[in-house]
Amino acid sequence: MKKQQGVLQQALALITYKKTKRPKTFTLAEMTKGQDQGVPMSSSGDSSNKQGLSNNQEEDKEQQQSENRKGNQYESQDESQNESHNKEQDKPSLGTPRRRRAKKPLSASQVRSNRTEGDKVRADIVSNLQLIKQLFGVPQNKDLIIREFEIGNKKRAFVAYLDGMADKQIINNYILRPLFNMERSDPQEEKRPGQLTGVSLGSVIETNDTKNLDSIEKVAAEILKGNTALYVDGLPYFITCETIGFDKRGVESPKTEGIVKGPQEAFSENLRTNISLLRRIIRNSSLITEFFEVGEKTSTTIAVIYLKDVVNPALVKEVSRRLTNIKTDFLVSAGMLEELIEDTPFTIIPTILSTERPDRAASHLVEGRVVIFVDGTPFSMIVPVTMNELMHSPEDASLKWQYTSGLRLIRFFAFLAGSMLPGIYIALTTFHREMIPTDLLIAIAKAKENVPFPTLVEILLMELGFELIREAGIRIPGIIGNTLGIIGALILGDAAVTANIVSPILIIIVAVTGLSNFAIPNYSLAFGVRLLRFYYILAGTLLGFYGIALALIGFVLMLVNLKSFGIPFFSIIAPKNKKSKDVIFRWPLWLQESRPDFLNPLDRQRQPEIAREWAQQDADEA
Amino acid sequence: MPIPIRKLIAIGIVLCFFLPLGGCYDATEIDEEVYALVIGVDKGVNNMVRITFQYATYKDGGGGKAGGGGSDGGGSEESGEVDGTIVSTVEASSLLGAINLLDAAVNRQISLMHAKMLVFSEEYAREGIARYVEPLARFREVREFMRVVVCKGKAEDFIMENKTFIGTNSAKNIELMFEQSKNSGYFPDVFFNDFYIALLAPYGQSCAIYAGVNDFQHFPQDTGGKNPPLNTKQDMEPGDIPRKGGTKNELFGTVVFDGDKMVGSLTPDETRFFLMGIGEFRRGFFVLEDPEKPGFIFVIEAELSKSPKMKGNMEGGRPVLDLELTLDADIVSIQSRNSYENLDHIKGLEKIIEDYFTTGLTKTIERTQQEWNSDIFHFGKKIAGEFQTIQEFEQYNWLSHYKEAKISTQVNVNLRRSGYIYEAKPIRGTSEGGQGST
Repeated sequence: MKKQQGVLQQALALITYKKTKRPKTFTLAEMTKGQDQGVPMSSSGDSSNKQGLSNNQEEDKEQQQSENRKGNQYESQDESQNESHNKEQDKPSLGTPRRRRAKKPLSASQVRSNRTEGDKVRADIVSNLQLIKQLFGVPQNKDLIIREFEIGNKKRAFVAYLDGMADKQIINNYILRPLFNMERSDPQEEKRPGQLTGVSLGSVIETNDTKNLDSIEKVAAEILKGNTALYVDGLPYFITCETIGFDKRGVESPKTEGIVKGPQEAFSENLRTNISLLRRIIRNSSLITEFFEVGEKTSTTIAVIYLKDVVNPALVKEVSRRLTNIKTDFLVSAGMLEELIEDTPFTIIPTILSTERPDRAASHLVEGRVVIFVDGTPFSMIVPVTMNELMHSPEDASLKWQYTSGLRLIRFFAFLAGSMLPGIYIALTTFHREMIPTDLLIAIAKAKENVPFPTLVEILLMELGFELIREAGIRIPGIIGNTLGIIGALILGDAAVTANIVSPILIIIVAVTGLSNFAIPNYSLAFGVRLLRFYYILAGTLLGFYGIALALIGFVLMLVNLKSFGIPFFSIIAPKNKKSKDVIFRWPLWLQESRPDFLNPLDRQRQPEIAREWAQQDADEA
Repeated sequence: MPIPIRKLIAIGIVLCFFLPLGGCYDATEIDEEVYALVIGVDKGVNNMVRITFQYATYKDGGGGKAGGGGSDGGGSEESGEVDGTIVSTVEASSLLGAINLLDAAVNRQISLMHAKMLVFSEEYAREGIARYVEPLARFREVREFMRVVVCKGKAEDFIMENKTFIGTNSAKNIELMFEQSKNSGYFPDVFFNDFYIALLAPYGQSCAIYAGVNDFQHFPQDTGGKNPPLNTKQDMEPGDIPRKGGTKNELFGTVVFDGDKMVGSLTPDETRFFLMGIGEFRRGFFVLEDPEKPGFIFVIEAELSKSPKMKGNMEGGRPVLDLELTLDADIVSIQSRNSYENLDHIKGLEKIIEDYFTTGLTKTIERTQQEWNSDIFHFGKKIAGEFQTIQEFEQYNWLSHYKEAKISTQVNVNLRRSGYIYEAKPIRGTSEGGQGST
């Protein structure tokens, strides 16, 4: 863009966050099934379904390091579970991209991987023990447990695991005991001490998943996850056994998205549980889970889940591009990740849908969206979303379509009332008194006769009080917190009126605004609307309806300029797409034949034109 | 990235400083103004006009408490307190000047945003109101749905009697007062907007509501004994209704204007025919004398079933107009208990009613033609179509030719319902004949 821009354009650019110079943003291209070979599909492919999810973690980490997807290569790796084979292929694939990227500052993971090359596992126990201890700072760090013992022909060995992260039952019964038993029951081993190999050890250890790792760094990563590392003197690698077993919350009912009809289970903090909840709903071999690690200090696992034969591959590529290019040290929640990957961080309207309901996440997966989990967060993030999805409730699908359509109208009203009602009230009472019915006007004037403040101060006082109650209600423990909301609002409102601090009609305005806010189904969006309220109050105070109209235009300009992972936030309305049967008015399920047009999914058809085939059959003949 | 943020901050600061200057300047809190509900215009003594405002007070008790109801607390005459409102009169050179004069005494600005009634005294209306209607049409605060009333006597007295007896809400009281036009048809419901447009229109003249103050002197003392005569006509003027109790204000009849001057008034009965003619008659009871039993009456409730059909053309330079009305009527009462509702007799009854309406309508139109030459029916709208350009029509000057127009009327009546009684039986008693009395 040239420097000489119109003033209007510049102003527009400011309102809509459009920078004059900016890198090319991601837009979602249309794709068909034939095309998806061209775009590097994400790796782990089919194999992860066959072998369970955990197996792919290692591969995914490596992908993350390479940042250059070579789909076929990785798929072949996955198919062969042989770790040594894996190692051989690793080097060439890792080498080239890293060298090419050397000009750019290194990411946390790259720094780590550079260091790894010097941290190869040595073939003697003393130095390996030393390495592990050094890595975890053992004399000070009391969490790492190292159990040294001897197996076979007095061969020295040790296991290392993190206390609390690993299940001690598994370590005792399925790692240590078989190893000790091997000593007694396998006299052949004693005769040929040098022959003790990983293969034979692997068949002794009874845990369900083992890996041979030759990098101390990777071993440490495994230990940090809660796995147990076993080293036997003389081997050039560690054997890690899956022993993850820490205390976790079970599956409970949703806290923020409670509904009457429909499933009553929610995600929990445990990533594995969350993924299994999804898999229980979508029993489909093309449901892919990819893992990423973000956070230099926390190494938080992030799972990206999608349906391979539905989702637009470019979308998956974009998600993984964003995830792999995050440089941060600390990441514990989906909310933090949201800030790091959303398209326009300055908007107050969320462009990522956050849900704690597996059924909701599943329904979006099937539509062709991508679900992102952050380990330790009981919420999944769904991308991309549009305004309409934010206004939908998980109950919508469980209710009859007529009820749902009515409820959605209420929600859109709530959105408008929750953001604009106080602003409109101020505009009405200070600029447009002719619009109030005379009786009401005189009633308001009578009530306001003894109130010493202008309407703006009244509104701000009440809104402040209301916000205080809301904020305090969260902090105040237990039963008091719940009751405070109601009692506080009642007492505060009543007392304020009696004390002639506010006029009674204002209590109604503030209460309706507050109620409307709670009627907005999306928690983040409700927060946005809470802030918007003050924006409209300001506009209404300054310029009346004219100001509100200006403010609305500005807000809508911002909205239509938003993008969520390449999808215009106001899709279907602007830009106009193919009509959907599930936007504001939800048509019956059997009429919803295609997936959302703006997602450009590989498979557009949800169901044939006639979904209720039985209705066309002769009941007696069938 | 730092540049746009800096720009944003800069724009934000500019907005913070300048927007309030441009905006809140106009803002006024609700209770910083008083809202005139009624504006009265009288002829002045020392200056051009006397303007009377009635505005609501913000005292407690108007809302919920029982309040003083009828006669307000002491000194109401002097302070002008009338049932939760205050009536202030000021002599000034103009209407808007009066508002500013009153600022000297009323501690809040008088706003005309919610004015519901504009009252002219008859004396003033007969001299011409154009000069004082103009600012009302131009001023931003005045709203088009204000009703235009011409009252006998002084507007000030009329407004002083604008009391609330049923509720405590003066604004509601005034609004519902005009709604009564729909129930009786004895007075038209004239909006300021329509009134002003008709003042300017080349195709018709204005009319207004006729009002008066009833001092209850037309309610004669009971003389006893004598049989009162039957009178089914309503040809009284406002303020003359023989009644007592309740509010003293009466809206009764129509004021006919020629240009901006009042020239006469239609009686309440004529007002009904006028409203039918312009299609604004909603419903009303009509009392007719029984054709077979003089001294007995029957009552019908009539309403327009279609909007009136008006046809007009020029025949040899003379305007010829046709007005056709279709009415639905229900029988409400037949005192003589004759079975007029019987299908054999119903045509006859319809004929009687049709004659009554046709005569009434024709006479009303004739009166406006001959007595005042004022086309309040706006027949000119139909005649205008006979001219090729508006200029030609304006040149023709329809308003002066109105009295030459030949206007024929036709009323079709359909009797629809007969009420709960069908073919009433005579009331039986020991005395011979036992005729019913009600």
